[in-house]
Amino acid sequence: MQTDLSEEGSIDIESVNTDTPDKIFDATELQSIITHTLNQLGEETKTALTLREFEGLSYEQIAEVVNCPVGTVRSRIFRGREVIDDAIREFKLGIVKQKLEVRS
Amino acid sequence: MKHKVNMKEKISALADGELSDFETRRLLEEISSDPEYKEFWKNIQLTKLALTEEDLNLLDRDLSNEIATKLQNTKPHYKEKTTRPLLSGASYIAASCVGFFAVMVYSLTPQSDSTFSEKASKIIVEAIDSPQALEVLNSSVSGLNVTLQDFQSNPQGTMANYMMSDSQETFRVSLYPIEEINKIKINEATKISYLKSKDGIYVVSVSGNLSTDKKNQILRQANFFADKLK
Repeated sequence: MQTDLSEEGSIDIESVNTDTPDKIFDATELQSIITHTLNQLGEETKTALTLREFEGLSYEQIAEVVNCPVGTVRSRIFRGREVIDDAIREFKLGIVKQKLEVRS
Repeated sequence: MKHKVNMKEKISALADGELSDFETRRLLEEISSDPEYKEFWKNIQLTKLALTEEDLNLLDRDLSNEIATKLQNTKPHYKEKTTRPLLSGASYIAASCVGFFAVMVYSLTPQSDSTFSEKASKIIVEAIDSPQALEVLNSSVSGLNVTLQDFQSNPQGTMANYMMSDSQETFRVSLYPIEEINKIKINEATKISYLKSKDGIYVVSVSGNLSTDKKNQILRQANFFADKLK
């Protein structure tokens, strides 16, 4: 399916119907891991990252909401993403191991 | 090591459109030559998709081509008031198909799409000011042997005060639409979490004389019962 994005060019989006159940399971599990990891973050980090991802606020706007410097917002968002990045890498590693076990 | 951390922090800012053109150009050269940076960038985009799409088919999508294309063709949204991530095209299009995205559209562009966004906003307000909201809060404290002291409910949030039957300790559990997050007074004793239902994103908070474990248990249980808000 080709979706035209007037502002940002065009992006191919894969048809959902081609997904096999195990891929959908992996995606759902990954989504759950990301959400869970987000909720495990410290309150300040979680708030900054949530305002960015869910509300789409700029760093400057977040700084106003939580009353701290823009640089602090930037580093909080980064720290949160680092933790989530670790969780995603661990998840991907688990899938690779599972597939290797199945093959052997 | 410190250089890598600094670079990753810049990549994170780049993903949010918060770098200048000059910084972006310098950063892109380094990203393209380092697999670790590429992986970090890709995982940021996965996170964005995971948090904005209801149905996810992440592993079936080759994001690397999208990233390369977007990095080449898209200017960063530096210092814009309503920034959107560089790679947000796919996620925004997909997310616009589900109800909760309308809330974000409403908060970012209140002047446009008024009919659609007003409907979404109305759904959130009705959900938060409904018997179901209190039901979510009551469900979140199930198994804790508590009694409900009092509660308040209005479109800005639902708050319930409880007392532990054995220790007589009191605590408060609150549920807000995410737009109201700046009204929550967060202190060290407050634990918050985010609930995603079909129709919106909510913030649930627990404060008062409770152990951290019990607060976490309440937040987990609230998450489990979030579907009642549909």
